[in-house]
Amino acid sequence: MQVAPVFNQVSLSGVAIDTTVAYEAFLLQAQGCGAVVTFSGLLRDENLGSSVNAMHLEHYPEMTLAALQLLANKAQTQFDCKALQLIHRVGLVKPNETLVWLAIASTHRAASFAAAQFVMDKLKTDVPLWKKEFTLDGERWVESRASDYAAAAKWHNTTTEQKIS
Amino acid sequence: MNQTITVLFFASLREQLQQEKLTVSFNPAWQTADDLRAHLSQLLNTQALEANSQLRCAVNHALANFQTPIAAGDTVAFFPPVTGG
Repeated sequence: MQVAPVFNQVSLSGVAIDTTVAYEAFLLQAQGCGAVVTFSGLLRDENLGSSVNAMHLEHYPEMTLAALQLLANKAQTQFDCKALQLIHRVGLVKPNETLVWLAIASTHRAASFAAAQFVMDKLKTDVPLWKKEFTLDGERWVESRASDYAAAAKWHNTTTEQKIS
Repeated sequence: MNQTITVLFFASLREQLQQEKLTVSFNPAWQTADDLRAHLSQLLNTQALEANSQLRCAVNHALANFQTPIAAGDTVAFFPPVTGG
């Protein structure tokens, strides 16, 4: 069966993401694919020993969406994705809500699994977003982690002569 | 001709400096983002703009580094390491 042209969409959401609706809509873009991988990043209600009441996600309006698009385009170049969708929250998020939702479809599963890992690893280092936690002990900015930079750097060392499909 | 640079600060850096945005006259002697950084460090009398691994920048809304060239009319943003995802 002929696979439809590549679907590639990134967006920011100021309100809660309805992942059920998003997934059903995404499936329409994944027709003909044998694999769909989705990832949800959730806000944990506890971090570094403190109870988290809420999180605020700050972004750089002129840059954040463009940076997400650049990342999505890189994923399409390196992996044989037939469809990719990324939704990232900005603004106020409550515990257990979805911070980021990613869906990828490909003919076979290798590309979807690998592309999802790639996008999440690079999202941690390449996109202008900053998290501020509101806890019972006060508010604090989440700090970047060395492990996130190590994970992103790992992809630079991976040389693939052809797209993973 | 626009002889200024628009400077933006984000996140904890914005809070520390208590500045979100400012406009500075472009000094023709400036060549890179680092030249601007050094100037702002003095202007705002702050240690928050020291050139270290905790400070990042973007030029005209694209991720850059401190060696990135700048010119009159540019927008340069300074911010801490990103924490999205």
